[in-house]
Amino acid sequence: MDILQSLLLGFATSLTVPNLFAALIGASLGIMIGAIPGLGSVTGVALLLPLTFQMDPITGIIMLGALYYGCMYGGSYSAIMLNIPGDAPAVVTALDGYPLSKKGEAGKALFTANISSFIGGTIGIVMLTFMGAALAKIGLMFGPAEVAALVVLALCSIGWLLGDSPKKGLISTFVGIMLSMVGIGLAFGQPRFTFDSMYLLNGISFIPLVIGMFGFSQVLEMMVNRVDAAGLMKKIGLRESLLNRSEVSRIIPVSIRSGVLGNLVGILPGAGATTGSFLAYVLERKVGRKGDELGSGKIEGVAASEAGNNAAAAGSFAPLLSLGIPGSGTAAVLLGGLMMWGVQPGPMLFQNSPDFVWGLISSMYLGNVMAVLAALAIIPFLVKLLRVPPAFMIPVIAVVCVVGAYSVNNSMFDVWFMLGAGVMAYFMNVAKYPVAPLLLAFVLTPRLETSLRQALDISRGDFSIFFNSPIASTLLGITALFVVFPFVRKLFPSLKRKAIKK
Amino acid sequence: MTNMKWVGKTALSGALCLAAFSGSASAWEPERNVEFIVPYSAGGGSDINARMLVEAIRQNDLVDQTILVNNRPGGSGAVGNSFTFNKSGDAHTIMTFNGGQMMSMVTNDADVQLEDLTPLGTLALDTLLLGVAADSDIENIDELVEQAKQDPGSITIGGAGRGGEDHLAFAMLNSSLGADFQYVPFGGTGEVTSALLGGHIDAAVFKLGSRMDPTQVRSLAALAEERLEAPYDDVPTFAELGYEDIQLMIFRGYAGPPDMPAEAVAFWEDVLEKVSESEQWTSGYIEQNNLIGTFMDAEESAEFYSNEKERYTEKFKEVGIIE
Repeated sequence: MDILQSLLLGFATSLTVPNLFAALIGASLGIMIGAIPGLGSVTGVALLLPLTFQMDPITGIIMLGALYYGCMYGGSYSAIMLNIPGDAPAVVTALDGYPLSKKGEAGKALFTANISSFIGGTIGIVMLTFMGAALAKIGLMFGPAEVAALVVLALCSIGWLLGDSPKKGLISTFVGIMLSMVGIGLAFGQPRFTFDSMYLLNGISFIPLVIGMFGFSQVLEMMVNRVDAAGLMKKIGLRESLLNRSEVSRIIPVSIRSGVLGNLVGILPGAGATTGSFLAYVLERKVGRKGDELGSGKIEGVAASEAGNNAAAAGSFAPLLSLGIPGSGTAAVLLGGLMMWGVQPGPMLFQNSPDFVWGLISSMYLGNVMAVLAALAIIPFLVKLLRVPPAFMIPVIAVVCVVGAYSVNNSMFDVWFMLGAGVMAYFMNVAKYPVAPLLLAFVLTPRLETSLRQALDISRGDFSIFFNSPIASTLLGITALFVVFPFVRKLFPSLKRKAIKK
Repeated sequence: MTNMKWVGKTALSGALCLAAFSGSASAWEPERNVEFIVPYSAGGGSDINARMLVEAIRQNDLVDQTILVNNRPGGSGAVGNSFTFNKSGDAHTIMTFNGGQMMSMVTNDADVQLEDLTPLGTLALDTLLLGVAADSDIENIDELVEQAKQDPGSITIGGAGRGGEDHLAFAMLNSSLGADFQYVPFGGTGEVTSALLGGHIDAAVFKLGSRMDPTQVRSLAALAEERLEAPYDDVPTFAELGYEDIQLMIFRGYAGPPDMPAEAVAFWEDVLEKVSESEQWTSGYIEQNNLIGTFMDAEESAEFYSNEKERYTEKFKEVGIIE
């Protein structure tokens, strides 16, 4: 096979001692950068890029690829251990990861995150290798109308995260929608709810909001209620942290499903890894054997989210390599790097610089393997860290929150905002208002508004654009089914009983 | 603090005049670390520009002190602008200043405006092109205008952002081509390209620096002053087609805080001129980013910026982005 041959050729150029060394350094750096809240893969790649100019282009891209992968692994650590998602996709990881930590199963959650990241990433890369160009063409079929329909589907599934009291869940969803409205939206170009503050002109930054809502509120809770920390501090050995055979067999099918879905979402323009991990989580909730228990600390939830976002990260490379269109912020920075090395991304890239393309793709396999090895080696140390007594742990977490919020925009405003969000989330927790719907509504609403407005700009305000597109109408149809199905089931209780008997 | 020998010279006030003296041993030089403000995030266009400038300065030994890049993103540049503004009179603070940054000052009616800063020089220009997908049946501007006239509003033109360079270019097209087009704003050039190649929009404006692949996108005309170089050398400018008004050169320059001492302005102006002639800059930055290399000194830059600001304001008023 032609592709296999090219891939082997790629490995032949990339598997040298200096390249392996570069991959190891990149992966380790990436895990550290990803684990620090506030620093993500975009910053990591941007800062390392100038250093790689001195290197051989292949070595440089291998190092950056490994760094990118390392970041995806590291992002889940603080989400699981401290309830502070290192980046946006890790919000979904925290939903089950932190409850697992509270039960004293942080080690299992970390291993699950790594293994499913590896599986998801591998699925993404394999799909990129064999179907990259075809996938990129599918991505092009998603215009504003189709993306809007996809986001509607994702938004309606927030319903499953509302918790015990749907009313409280809805209120928290609407608060998220309102917060996301602040700033100059792409749709209208006018400042909304900025109160004449230039810090609000570009909207509320997601990372300080998340760090406050998840992390700092945790600090407050641990201070007020010392008992909560007991589960976290439970002595756990490495052996108890390892996954047993039945647990491994529980997460493998989840990781495969989520990996395929996440990869497909990753190639869509502007959809990104967050939508990927969220949709994978939602899918798991619907089709998984333990779907209903997700959110209470199940390794399936961690696996779905991590496999979903790693596969989406690989997916975002398909449009970059085959069309020259960056599918994510990190891909955009890498595109800058490619140009610096004199490589012109686009449809001719595969013909013009095959050694570079296949070197890059093989470096993704290499980066993924290096990252999982480095990550597995770090877990025992992380588990030991959890044994630090709360009296020392709480101030450290508080400092991490402040530094993380500051480093996004180098701005004290974000620090104050983070503290405010933490206090608010603390009271929400006390009053049993769920925080997760707020954050997901915050992420998804601006995407819906932008895509909806673009679609209506294109159609001159005619809503038929959604029904004339087969993709959009199918997605909206699925959404309608989701909404109607519970009512139908209630109206015809006999149907349900019959189905069970069968 | 201030070098007394030069106090008399500041009375001359002509920055150009001072430039001639700089480089001599007695000229002002930075005495401590220099803070280089970038009002956008790490990894963006202004950030790359700043880091390449620092690198070129370092390799050519143009400044003895360390230059520290400080990203102050937020408010479409407003946070960085006001950070620099608050360093009034400081000779050790410089900032990247580009066309988009000035446009958002205008469209957001920001507190800090061009008049509150001290332009230091301009090293690069970018321009925009109007293109359609390579498989589109529209071959030239006339056909595009013809279709738009038959069914007003039916032709959609995509661009990155609202109230920025792409939107301004659209405003010029819309008012000068005599047809009614529909603008569709996207989150970035990548998303615009996806929508164009997927057939969701009819045409798109994009920057020369974004290097649109000619095999994917057929450029119909450029908003440049002169013919562009290969691979866009067969694309006519709008002026050649008879639309002199449709012309937009986006600048990438530098500015300092208000009341920056004239001898410091002269020093930075001189550094920028030397960078513009260096190999690292021309091949490492200008060529790699597909920009048009130039050098405008402080005075020329100030005049150019203020003329452009007037033009931006007028066009944005025409399309109703500002009142």
